[in-house]
Order: sequence, then C-alpha cells, then structure tokens
Amino acid sequence: MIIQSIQLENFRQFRGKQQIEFDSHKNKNVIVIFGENGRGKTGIFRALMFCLYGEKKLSQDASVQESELYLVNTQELQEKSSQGIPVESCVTLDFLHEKQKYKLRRSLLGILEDGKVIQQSNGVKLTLWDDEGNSSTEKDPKIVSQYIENILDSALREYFLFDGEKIERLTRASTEQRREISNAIRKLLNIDTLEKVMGATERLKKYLNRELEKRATGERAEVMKLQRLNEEEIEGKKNGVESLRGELEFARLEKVDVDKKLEQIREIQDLLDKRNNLEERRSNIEEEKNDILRGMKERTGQTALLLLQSTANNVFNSIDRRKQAHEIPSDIRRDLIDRLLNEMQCICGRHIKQGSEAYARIIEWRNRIPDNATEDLTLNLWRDLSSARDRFESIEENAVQSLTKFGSLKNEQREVERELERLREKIGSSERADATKLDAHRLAIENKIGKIEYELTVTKQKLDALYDGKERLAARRKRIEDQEGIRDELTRRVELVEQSHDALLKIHNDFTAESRVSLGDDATRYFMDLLDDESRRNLKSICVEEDYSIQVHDRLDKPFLANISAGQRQIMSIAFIAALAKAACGGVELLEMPLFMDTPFGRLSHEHRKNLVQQVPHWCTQWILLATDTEFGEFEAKELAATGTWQSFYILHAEEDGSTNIHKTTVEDGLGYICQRG
Amino acid sequence: MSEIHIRILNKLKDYPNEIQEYVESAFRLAATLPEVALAEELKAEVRKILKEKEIE
Repeated sequence: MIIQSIQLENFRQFRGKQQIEFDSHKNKNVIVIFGENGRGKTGIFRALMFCLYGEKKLSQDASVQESELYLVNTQELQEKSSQGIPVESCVTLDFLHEKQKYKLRRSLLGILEDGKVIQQSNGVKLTLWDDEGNSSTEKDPKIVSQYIENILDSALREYFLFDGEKIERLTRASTEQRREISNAIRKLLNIDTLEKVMGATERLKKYLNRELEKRATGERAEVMKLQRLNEEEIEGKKNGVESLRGELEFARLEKVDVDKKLEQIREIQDLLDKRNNLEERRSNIEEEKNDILRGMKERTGQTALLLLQSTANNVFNSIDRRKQAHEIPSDIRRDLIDRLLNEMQCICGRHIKQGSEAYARIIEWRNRIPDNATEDLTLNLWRDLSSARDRFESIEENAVQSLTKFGSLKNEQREVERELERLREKIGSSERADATKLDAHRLAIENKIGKIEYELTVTKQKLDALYDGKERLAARRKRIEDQEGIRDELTRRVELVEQSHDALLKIHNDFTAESRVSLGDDATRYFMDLLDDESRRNLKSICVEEDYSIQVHDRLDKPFLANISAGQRQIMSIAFIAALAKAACGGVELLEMPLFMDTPFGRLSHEHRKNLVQQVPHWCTQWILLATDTEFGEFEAKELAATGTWQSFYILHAEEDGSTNIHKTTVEDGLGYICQRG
Repeated sequence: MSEIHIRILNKLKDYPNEIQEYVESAFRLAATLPEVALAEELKAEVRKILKEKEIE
C-alpha cells in the first residue's frame, strides 16, 4: 500500500478539512509530521486505522472505553451542537496497492447531547479504478472490509506503528514482552483456527479416554487411570511452572525497584555530604564574620579617628605651614615683648616712647605672637598630629581590609544559603529513606529469587519426569492392548484423535519455531543496520527464545541482553517491530506499507539516531516520522536532510480554539524552522 | 482455504490418510463453530472416518 493523500475533516484535533499529501517519489519517501505533544501526531495514524478498518481504538487505548474516545472534533461539535446540528467527521484515503488506485472514505456523525458525545457510523465508500481508468464504487461495509483485509490483514495493522509505548514494552524482559511476541507470531501465522482445532481435539481426546477407561478392565484399566493422573499432574506442573515464572519475574522487578531506590539514596548521600560541607562552611563564615566584627569593635576608637582625618590633616597642615614660615615657635617670646613694653625700653637699650611708631610696631608684633601656653599647645598638637598621620594610613588600611573581607564573606554566605536551598529541594523527603532497611530487603528478595529459581528447576525436572512417565504409560498400554488383541472401535477412535492431536501439535511447534527463527534473522539484520560500529562488533544477533522472550547474543554467541544499554535495547525493539512489520507484509524486502514512527529517538545516542534516519527510508516505501520538538532537533533534521530522502515537512500548529492546523512547508523551510527553534 | 491451511495440509502429507481427513474436517467445521461445539461435531466425524476406512 502506498498512501497518496489522507484528508481529515473534523477528525480529532483537526477542525475543518485538512490534508496531508504523500508524493510518489521513490527516493524521497520520508514525511516528517512535527508537533508538540497533544497536537495530534498519533491522531494521523488513528485516522488511517479508522478509515481502513473503522476502528476507533488503537492498541495503546486498551484501558480507554470506546465511548470515551471522541473522534469527532470537539470544538466543531460544541459550536454545531448549540444549533442542534450533528457534525460529520470523516477521513478520506487515496492509495495505491499493487498498481491499482483506491479511494476510501469513512465517516461518522457526532452530536453533543446533555454534555455527552454521541457518535455513530455514517458509512464507508470505496472507489476503485481499473487499468483503463474505469471506476467502480462499493458501499457495503462487509465487502469494503474484505477488500481492505486482502490488502492488509487487520490483525497485523498495529505492526506499522512504532509508538513509544510499544518500543518500551518490547525492551523489557517480562511476561508482557513474551505475550506480545507470542501474540504477534500467532497473528502472523494466522493460527487461530489451528489452535481452535487443537483445543477441540484435546477435549475430544479427554472425553474418549474417559469413556475408554470406564470400559477397561484389569491392568489396562489400571494403566489408563495412571495415564489420566499423569495428564492431570502434567497440567498441574505446567501451571506451577507458569506461576513460578510469574513470581520470579515479579521478584526480579521488585529487586530492580529496590536497586533504583538504593541508587537514589546513594545520589542523595552525595547531596547530603555536600549539604553537610556547606552547612559547616556557613558556620565557619559566621565565625569569621564575628572575628572581623570583634576586631573592628576593638579598633573602634582608632577607626573613629578616621572621621577626624580630614580635619586633623587640615590642622596639621595649617600649623605646619606656620611652622615652615617660622611663625611658630616665634623668634621672640611674647613675655619678653611684654617686659620691654613695661620697661618702655628696647633690647638695644633705647627708650620707647608711647604712641611712637616703634611703640606701635612692637604692639603689632606682640599681637602677632601667641602667648606661650598657646604656642606650646600648638607645637604639641603639631607633634601629636604628625605621629597620628602615620597611623591614619594603617588604621585606614585595616578598616578597608576588614570591611572587604566582611563583604566577601557576606556574599559567600548568601551563595551558600542559595545552594543549601537548592539542595534541600533536591533532597526533599527522600532523605528519610533508610538505606540499611532497603539493603536488608534487597537481600531478602535475592534469597527469594534463589528459592524460586530452585523451585522452578525442580518443577521442570518433575515435569520432564512426568513426560517420560507419559511415554512409558502409553507404551505399556499399547503393549497390553496388542497382547490382548484389543482393537475395538472406541480404542481406534482414541488412537486417531491422539495421533491427530500429536500431528497438530508438531505442526504448531514447527510453524512457531520457523517464525521465531525468521523473525530473529530479520530483526538481526535491522539491528545491525542501526547499531553503532562498536556495538556491531560486540553484538551478534537477536533471537526469539522458546518462551517467546527476546534475547541478544554477543559475538561469542552468549546471551547478553542483561548487559546492553537502554539505547541499545531501544534499537533492539525498533529492529524487532520492523521485523514484525516485514513478516506482516509477507516477508518482502521492501515493505509496501507506510511505517509510522511516533517519537522513536528516546534514549538513542547521536550515532544511533543518525543510523535510524539513514536506514529506515530503505526499509519501506513510506516512512512517516511523527516527531516532537524535543526529539527532532537540528541534528536529526540535518542528518535526515543529508540522506536526500526527506520529501516533505508538516507542522501541527495549535489554533486559538485548541484545534490543530496542518501546515505544509518545503524541506528547506522545515530545516530552517527546526534550526531557528534551536 | 487460506494460505495457512494449505501449509498445514502440506505438512500432513506424510501422515496416514485418516489423520489428514480428520484435520481437513476439523478445519472445515472450525470455520463456523466455536471450540466446544467443534469437539462435539468431531466425535461424529471420527466415527465417520473410521467407518469409511473399514468399508475400504
């Protein structure tokens, strides 16, 4: 099947008519549909499944009631329902299959009544064109369904969607995984009828053996009774093995859970150590700050002097200037001038006349000269200020140093507080988790696992012994019947039914074994295509075990699944789903079906992502990559563009009313858009 | 007859005729009957196959 276009009208998030076109260009077969979560990426695969099969639910909707799953666009529904008008939701698919052209249109009507959405089918129409371009139309749902089933068996449809859930499910070694693979093989083989026939034959066998036992006598009756008991015991032991396997798996999961918690505690332990160190640092900072404050307090007197530094400097400079001008100390002391004035006689002995010019000059001189006490005081002040000036510098230096240190300590303290707050958030309530208790619990689980494994081995041995016993009893019974020449009609009936049952069982086992081998081989090829060089050197193959679990073998052919990384497991899942899709397409090399991959990059490394975008386009005719902004970034977009297989790019835009608009761009614009988003 | 049934019958070629007949009848009946009803119907089929073999 090659899709040419898919048209959605009021389907899910898509309001009004919207279309995605798929150009039939052989070498450009990748369509990227890009949108944030909830914008309707899976809705496009859902639309395809609805159109082909009328199915509303996907396998991922297992837990959702069909009545709760709305396919009709809710925005349109609300608007139209207020006017009492039902909304038609339809999907139209144009596709080619084996060179024949098909147009399939399926719709349903929806209406909102008393707050409840009511949806009902509104028919299906299939138009086919023959080689000469003549068309015919079919509207009978049963006939349309037969056409579609012949193109792609509905039971196999889900192998063409790789969603995160399915990828995750297959990466886990669990009952769920085994069930998934077992179901897949059964679906691929289409052996439902074979199993039904086997079940009916088993019933018939039991019934006929009971009848035969009723009629038997002597040793033959005894052997038949033993056979019945042996069968019952085998049944019981088989159930026992299954239940022990379940217990074992549960215990292993529990151990993984405890290991995760312990790991978390180890992580928390690191955080706690970090927190203790920070708290110690915070306390040291506080002490250092107090020391500085104490020192500053002790130096308050000295430091206060800094307040007077400018005044002191001015006074010192003023005195010093006067000193430099020899004004102080004065050449003649004031008390000598006073004596001269009292005696009215100059030093040279001349008489000084009051009111004379000489007298006036002496008075002026006297006034200029401070008294002795003032002069002494001034000189003492000069000396004191001179020595204080030297200390100002060291006081200032000390004060600046203390304040700078205090400031940086305060900043560091703030940073420590912030870091502590962040750590508190990280540590949260898990701090209380008790590692010792968990360690003890883990040990108990390990012991339990050991016990279950032992019990399982013993039960399997008993089961083998019972099978041996079964064979011996059958041989013994045959010998008795041969010796006694018993060939009655009921015995022959039992023989025929038992032989037929054994033949059917052998065929069933052969088919499933062939399928397991074939799936393993295909998965290995895809796996090798996707792995990085180093992994390719270390890992050899994927195989499906007898119990349907997937195993990876290393280059020495030893089971290696437990040791591979999460990314390698994801690659393994993708390879396996691709192998299932290939089997669903009848084993052809190029899958003639579109492969939908919903956000497949998850835990993949750059190398694996690169391989994925390089290889998948060669696996199928169309690869529809549904990608979120977190998964499909510049790296992936550039790698895909470099392959030359990228055909078109669709962006799912959110509209104001909550619906989604499909916007087509060229690959170049798409690449630019992705790079711009960074 | 579906592909799988043809494959099953091919695998039965080396088995005795009555087993092939039984499986063929079982598949024919299984197309319309559930398992329990099929087991009931097969009781009569087994008788029929053995009777035909006896006549031969």
